Amino acid sequence: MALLSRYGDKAKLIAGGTDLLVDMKNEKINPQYLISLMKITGLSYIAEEGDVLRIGATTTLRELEESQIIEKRYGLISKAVKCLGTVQIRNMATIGGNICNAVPSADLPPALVALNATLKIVGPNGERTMPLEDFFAGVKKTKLSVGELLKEIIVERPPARSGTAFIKLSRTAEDLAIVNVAVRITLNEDDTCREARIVIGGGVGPTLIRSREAEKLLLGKKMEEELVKRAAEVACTGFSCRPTSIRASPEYKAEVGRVLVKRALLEALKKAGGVVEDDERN
Amino acid sequence: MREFKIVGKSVKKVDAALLARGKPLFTDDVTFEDMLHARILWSPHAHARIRDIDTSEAEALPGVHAVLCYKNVPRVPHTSAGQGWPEPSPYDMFMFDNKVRYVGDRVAAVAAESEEIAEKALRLIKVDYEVLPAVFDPEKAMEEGAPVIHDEPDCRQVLPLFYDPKHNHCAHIEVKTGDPDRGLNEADIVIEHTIKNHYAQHCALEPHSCISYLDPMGRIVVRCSTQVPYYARRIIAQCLQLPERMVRVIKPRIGGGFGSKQEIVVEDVCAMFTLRTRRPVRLVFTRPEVFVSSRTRHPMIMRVKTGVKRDGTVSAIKMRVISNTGAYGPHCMTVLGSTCAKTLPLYRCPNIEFIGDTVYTNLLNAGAYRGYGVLQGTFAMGIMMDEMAHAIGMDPVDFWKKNTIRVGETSPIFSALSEIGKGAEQKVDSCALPECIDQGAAAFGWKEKRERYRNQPDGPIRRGVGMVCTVHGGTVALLDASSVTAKMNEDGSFNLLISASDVGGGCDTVLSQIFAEALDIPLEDVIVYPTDTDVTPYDKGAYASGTTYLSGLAVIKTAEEIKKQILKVAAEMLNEPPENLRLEKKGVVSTKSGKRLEFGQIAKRAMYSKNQFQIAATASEYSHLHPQTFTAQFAEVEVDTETGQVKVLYYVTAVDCGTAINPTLAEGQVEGSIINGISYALTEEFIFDENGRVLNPSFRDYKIFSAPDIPKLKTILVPSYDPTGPFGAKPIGEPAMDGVLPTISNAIYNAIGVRLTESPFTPERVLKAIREKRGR
Repeated sequence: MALLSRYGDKAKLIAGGTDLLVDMKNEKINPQYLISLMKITGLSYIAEEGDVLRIGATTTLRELEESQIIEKRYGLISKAVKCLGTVQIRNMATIGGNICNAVPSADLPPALVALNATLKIVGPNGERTMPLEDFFAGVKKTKLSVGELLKEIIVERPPARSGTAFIKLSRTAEDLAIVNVAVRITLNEDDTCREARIVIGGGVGPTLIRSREAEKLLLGKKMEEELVKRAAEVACTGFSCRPTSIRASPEYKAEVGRVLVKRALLEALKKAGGVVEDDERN
Repeated sequence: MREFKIVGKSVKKVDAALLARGKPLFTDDVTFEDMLHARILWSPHAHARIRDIDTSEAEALPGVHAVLCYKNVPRVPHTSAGQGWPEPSPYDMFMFDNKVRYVGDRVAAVAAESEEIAEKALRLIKVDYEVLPAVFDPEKAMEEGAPVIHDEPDCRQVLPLFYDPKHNHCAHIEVKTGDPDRGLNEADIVIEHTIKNHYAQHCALEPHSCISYLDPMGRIVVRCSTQVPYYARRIIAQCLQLPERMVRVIKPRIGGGFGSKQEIVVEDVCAMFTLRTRRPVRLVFTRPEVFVSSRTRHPMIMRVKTGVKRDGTVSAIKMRVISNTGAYGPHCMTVLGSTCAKTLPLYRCPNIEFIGDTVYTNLLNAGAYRGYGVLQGTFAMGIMMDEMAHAIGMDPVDFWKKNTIRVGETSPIFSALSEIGKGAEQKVDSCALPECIDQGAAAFGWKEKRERYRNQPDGPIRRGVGMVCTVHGGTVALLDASSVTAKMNEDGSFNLLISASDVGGGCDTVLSQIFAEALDIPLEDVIVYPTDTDVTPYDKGAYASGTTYLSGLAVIKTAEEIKKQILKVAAEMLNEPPENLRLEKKGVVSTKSGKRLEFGQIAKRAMYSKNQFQIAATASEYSHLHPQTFTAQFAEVEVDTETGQVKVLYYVTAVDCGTAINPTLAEGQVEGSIINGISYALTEEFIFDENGRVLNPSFRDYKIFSAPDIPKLKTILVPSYDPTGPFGAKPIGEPAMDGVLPTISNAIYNAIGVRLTESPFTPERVLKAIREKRGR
């Protein structure tokens, strides 16, 4: 912390380095100092405490992938992590890095936002928490103040009658997402929708998008396919994609966004134990 | 078919253990104490004249030893294409010129104490550009009034070939056999399509690399990652205006080439720096440089018209091709020629018309890339064959069988055209294509899958199957040659000195196997030494799928010469006529007396005892014809009609490559080709901005397949024997790659009824095609 406040914005924090070092190599950034987090003990852990999961910021993606707790009870994280890069990258990259680097195409943040994750941030003035959803300020920009660092990610266990889904579309298995979608659905006893969280990432805007409007459409209603389709359409109206993206055009992202949101909602609905309309794929 | 002892066995690659242990085997694995590092300044403009260039500040920077640009190097028109001599590619390149012709063209270069200093010096070079209008569309480049890319007076074709640079027109080919118009008139159905393939880079793991230095005699030694060491020596000497004796090229292990290293891309600049500074110099491309400033595949626009009769006979093929060679013309004519000469002999159709043009544009420099025009031609014809079969309601398997060439037959194309002019009469000496089709279809489950997917329920995810047959003639007939030297050691082992250039494919192993088989010795008694132009004799190098075939023939000839010498010595020792003697298990046995001599005894006698001489031989062979390798390929795909994503689920390739000298390595060539092909078909793509600049020169943005993307593959090596090849072998490096684009296009068509005629089949393009069809 002392180093961080001494060097201010001349310094960059480094964890796994899988983004930072690439940017430095490509001369996109040129920090004077690197402060490594990897030797700080007690920043790497996966701990389940009742209905809450605490993940230390320097926990590697590979550790998340291999965690039985996550696989069993927080499957959405597991699914998103497995889609991310290669094993070699996952061995080095950390959850904190994947969040704090604030790349719009990152795979983990949509899944974590869908699970209503909050962040524990420490800084010169002590500790504060913030919903992950509010953390991103733009492309590669976060709401961390100078001298602050991310310490922990807290994920709440999905309530009963919940279902989740993560879908990523990319050119190759290890590529960044063209679009990724994470959803969490919770149903009432009568199978109507009690809560929906729809999060879209993959460079559909400067930050990931949570579509409250689409979520609202579903609230209190039976999630029939027509409604789900409409929600998917609404969810994908707010895209502001970079027109120069190498991976896909804005038009394509919007079009497949609708498809993926629809599919993710139906998949989550099925997992939540809701009545699934005839899935036309079967 | 013959029984073999070592040929036909999947022995381990002779260099496998060394590579696995990370021994310093590659170009860039060595270093010198006083070595300089070279970096090149690249053009930011697609087309510009350099009014002036000021290198004084760069030269003044401490640590900089030399700066090269058009002002201080000899102006030698040449081609970077590693081809025979004289080359059939235009002399339209200069080490440095006062004009740049694409974004990424050479402007100047610096050699300095470190790469960092060299980079810094590049930024100090002041270039005054007069930016010229650029042309990126090959069809517009041919129009009257288009910007002339090669307006220099000294560019020329060395051979008496068509060349019209004033119209950006660098090759023209016309071939006509039979009566194509009558063939079309006689057809029941005429089909027409415009088919386009796209630019791609080879993506060899090892970038273009070179380290050059002076030997104590003042000769330039060039250690480089090349497929063509002898051509490299010749072209380096040409560019530096030195006799060949002043240049020595050493080819160490190579980390893949696929055609991109059949060009002199870094060697001339590196060697020139050594000549100027008298110091060792290293020039190794970065990945973005490999993408932009090495070589790429020729994109072609192919307008094809074919006629078919109801009985399933193809009655006419008309093909009109425009090939985009980019800013320079290495291989521009021969790639185009191969699109006709090496593709169309597959079809049993007498009425063929081919008209092809290659055009300069201000885009990336195309060159040799696995497939070499045949890939493009097969893309077009593979789709046309599928469309014709569909139009007359015939199963493609039956349609391909009916219309493809058979053993003992000839094609009028053979004599009408070779890569560089009129071709040679030849017939098909071996052809197991019908067996390839049958065995491939059976292993794939063609009939069952076609039936199953015809009746698949509605839904957004659709499956389908497609097939294609390919032929690929290896070597450049009558021009390519190979030589091999072997000498015997006291223990009965042999040094095998070859310039056949193993670039990773395994020819060091395969040629050792052929030599061991020919002399009946164990593989470990062959010490293979590749390539050093001071030591190993001339060979064309690694291209045109020709190494196993042609260098293999030279190896056998050399072994025959050695055998004669061994028998002569043994006859003296045993006092029996040589006719009584034969080779057996590293020894000589008399069929009369039953006496046996070991090779070691014979070698020692020859070296030390009586009538002393070195048992050694050099023999050469040239290519008399294009050996024809056939494949039948089958793909099963899944198309997501809502996202446009295409997934290959299963890919079967049945191959007739004659005798597979080393089946595992042959399968490796096939699987490598198929993965290379699927990756090209589905994801690989250069993206340009409106000024012709590549926007994605990195593996992060230009995606190639990696392990998790590879579908289930099956390779079937169908037994076959070619009487012209070494122990019956035929080429294998390229033929499988040729068929992947159309096989996948055909499978997509089968799945969703939408025809994709423009590659790559990215989700966005597939979705667009679906929408266009629905809109109709």
